[in-house]
Amino acid sequence: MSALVGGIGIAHTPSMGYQYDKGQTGEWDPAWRRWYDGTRPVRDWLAAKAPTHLVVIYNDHMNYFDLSTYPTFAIGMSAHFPQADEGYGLRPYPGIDGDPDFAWPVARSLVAAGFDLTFCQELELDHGIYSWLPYLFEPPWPVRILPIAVNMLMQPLPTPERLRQLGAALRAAILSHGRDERVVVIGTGGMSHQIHGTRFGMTNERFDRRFLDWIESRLDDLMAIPPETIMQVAGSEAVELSMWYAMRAALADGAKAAYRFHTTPAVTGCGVIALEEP
Amino acid sequence: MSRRPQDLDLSLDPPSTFLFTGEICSRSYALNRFAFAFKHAGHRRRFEEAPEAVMEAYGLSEDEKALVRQRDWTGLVASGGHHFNIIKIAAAVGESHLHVGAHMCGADWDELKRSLPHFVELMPEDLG
Repeated sequence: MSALVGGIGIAHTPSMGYQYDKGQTGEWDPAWRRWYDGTRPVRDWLAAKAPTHLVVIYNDHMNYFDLSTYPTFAIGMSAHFPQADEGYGLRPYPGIDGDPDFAWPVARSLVAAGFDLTFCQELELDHGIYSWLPYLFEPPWPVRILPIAVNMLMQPLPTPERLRQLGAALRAAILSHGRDERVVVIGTGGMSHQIHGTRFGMTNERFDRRFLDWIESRLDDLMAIPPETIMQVAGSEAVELSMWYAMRAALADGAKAAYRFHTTPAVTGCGVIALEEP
Repeated sequence: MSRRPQDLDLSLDPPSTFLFTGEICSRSYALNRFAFAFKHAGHRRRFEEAPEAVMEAYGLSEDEKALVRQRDWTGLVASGGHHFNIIKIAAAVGESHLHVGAHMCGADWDELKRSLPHFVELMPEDLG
C-alpha cells in the first residue's frame, strides 16, 4: 500500500521557467526572486516528506498534443519524460523518469473508477510541469513522475466535478497500490491570467488569495463558482485552476495547509499551497 | 495600472476574449495545424525559405494567407487560430508573446509592457 504524503497546488507559466534559468546565472529579476524565495519552504517541506513519486494533474499548451487527437484526460505511461520543445529550444534540464510498474496499477484503478484515459508512451512535458519543477527539486530529479494531462484548451472542458472525481479516484488508486511508495499529488494551473484578447495581461490577486484560502477546507464553495465566472473575474486562462480541485480531492477532507504563498511577478498570479494529510 | 470593475469587459466575447471551441477547431483546423508545426525547426526553415508554398501545402484559405503575410496576430486568432498556436508563428518571425498581446490590445509594445500587469479586484459576487 502506498502512502499519500501530501498535496501541492501551484501555478505554472513559461516565464517562471525562463526566469529561474536567468536566476541561476546570477541575474534574478527581483519580482521572480520573490517567487523563488516564497517557494523555498515548499522545497524544504517536500524534502522532509521524501516522496518517491509525484502524480501531477496538469495541462499541455499545444506543445505536445496537437489538435489532430485531443484527449480530455491522458496519462503518461513511459519510463522517461523529456521536455517538450516549445519552439525556443530546450532548457538546461534532464528529462524526468516515470515508472510504468507504478503507473499501470494506478491507470487500471482509474479506468475501473470510470476514467477512460488515453495512454501515452511518448509524452513530452512542457512548462505546465518544467516551469515549477526546478523550484521544488534539483536535478538529478529525486522523484519519479506520473503525469495526467487534462484538456484546458478546447471547449468543452471537463467539469470541475469531473476533476473532483478524478482526485477521489486517484486517492483510492494510490492507497490501494500494491507497492509501498510515498506519493505527493500536485495540481498545477493558473492562477489568474489572461494572455490573449484585449484583456491580455489582466490578473486578480484578490481572487487568487481567496482561492488559496478556500482550497484548504472550502472546496465545495470554490467549485460552486462556475468556470465562466472564474474566467470573467480572473482571466480566461484561470480556468486551469480547476485542476487544483483534483489535487484537493485526492487528499483527506481534513487535510491542512502547511504553507501558502502568492505573488504576481509578471502577468500571471503565482501561488502555491502545500497540504498535509491529517 | 489598475482597472476598475466597470472598465473590464466581462462578456468573454471577442475582442476581449476568444474562447477556443470544438466548432472553431473544426472550421479552422488547417490554420491550427499549420501554426502548431512551427514548433518544429524544419517547418520554421521551410517557411522562411518559401512561405507561400508552405501555406499552400497546409491548405490555408486566401484570407488566412493574407493574415499571415500581414503578421495580423489578432486577425489570426479571430479567424480561429488558438493563441498558443499563433504565438508559435510569431516567435518564428521574431515577435514575442508580448508583441502578440500588444497587437491584440491595439497598444504600443513599450507602453503595454510598462503597464502590466493589469490588476483587477472583481470578485464572483460582484457580478450582477
